[in-house]
Amino acid sequence: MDRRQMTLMLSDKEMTLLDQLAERRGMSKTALVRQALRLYQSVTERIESGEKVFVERPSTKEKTELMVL
Amino acid sequence: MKLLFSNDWLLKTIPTDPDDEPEAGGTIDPSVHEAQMHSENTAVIGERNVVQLRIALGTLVRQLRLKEGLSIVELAERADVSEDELRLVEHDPHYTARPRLIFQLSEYFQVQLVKLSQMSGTTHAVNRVLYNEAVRYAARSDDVSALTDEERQALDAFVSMLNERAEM
Amino acid sequence: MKEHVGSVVLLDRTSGEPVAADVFRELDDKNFQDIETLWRPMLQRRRAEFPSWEAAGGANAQDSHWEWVDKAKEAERIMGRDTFAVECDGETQGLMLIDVAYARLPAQRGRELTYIELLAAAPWNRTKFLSTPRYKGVGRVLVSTAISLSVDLGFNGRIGLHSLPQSTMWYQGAGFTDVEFDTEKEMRYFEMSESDAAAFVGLKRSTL
Repeated sequence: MDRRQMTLMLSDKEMTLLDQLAERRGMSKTALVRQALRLYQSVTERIESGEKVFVERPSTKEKTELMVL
Repeated sequence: MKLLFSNDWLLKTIPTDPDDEPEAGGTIDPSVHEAQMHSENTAVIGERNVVQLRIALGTLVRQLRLKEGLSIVELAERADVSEDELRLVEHDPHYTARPRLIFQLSEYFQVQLVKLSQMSGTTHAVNRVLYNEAVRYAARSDDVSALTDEERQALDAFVSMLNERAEM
Repeated sequence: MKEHVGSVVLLDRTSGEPVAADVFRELDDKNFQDIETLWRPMLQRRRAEFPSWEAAGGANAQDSHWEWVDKAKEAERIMGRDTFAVECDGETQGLMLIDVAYARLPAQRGRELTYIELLAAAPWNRTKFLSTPRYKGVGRVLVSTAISLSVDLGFNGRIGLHSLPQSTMWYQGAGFTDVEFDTEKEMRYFEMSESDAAAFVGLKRSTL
């Protein structure tokens, strides 16, 4: 697969978050951004096709709708 | 991406693998594809027809069970399925049976899985002959707790039709 | 776009000699044509000989209903989905469909992994399908390719899959952990840890 390079401008806060998440999930920053993009595509397509995306709290079964866009 | 293995490694390791190639994924529900396979004999049916098929399925399961003299509880245990689901299949034509239940019942009663799947209404593409025979069979059978001789004959005829190897 | 990932070898089952083969990422029309004109008729003919789906397992003919073409086309536009083909003699010898999922083994639970959604060798390479199957090694090449992809994506070699009943021995032998019976899929779920994956492709874990 062809790979292209781009420069990403992030604030200190965003950069810190990227560092922390990459560390927590055991991935490089590039890999993390790629996975974030994948998740965002999946959520966006589901919502656009009329589905709803929820987060469920296992203890109470309480559901919160995930709003994107 | 780059492959992390060499051809030397493949030549060394392939002979040590089990003889047959592995497979992964896939589902236990072949009905959709099976229906597509024989499209010339297949019709796409509506919700009302699906309900008729499920009535026939419920009748079939109940009569096969009665023929063996089993209660719902006993059949559930022997076919390793849930009682509740079995009750729904026998009595609620709006209930869509899960593939596993249909699979277990087809194994237990030795009836072709493809046809039971079509009767369960998981697919709306159904073999025409099967549809007609199923509806006719259900119409001939009363919902009573014991089988009459006539009902037993209709049941046997329907089951042997289900197990024919004809193009279905 | 179809991409050549690497040159590999398979073993000719009759002569025992190595045969050059290639691994490609993303299927093209030639693969679709092979599926429709070579794989599907063989699978259907074989499948039709069995009264039930379960009995078809005895001859490796359970996947006649898999819709490779639809799934491969869908994969082209969805991030995280990938398809791979092993080719040799100008024919598709094996196929694999990949997704991203989350690990279930306690040591790596919740981490991303490369999930093998579908994996199959061409019908003519299966021993229970033909009395004289053609090539051996398609499964090993595809599983090792999945590990390579996992490393490339930053998942350190973690891979997972649901095994068809007749293949569980193969995966156990390869070093997968039999994690659980997945009641939703009604198949056993297998996973490889980072170190098992490294061991499988013959590398030290630190080099992944």
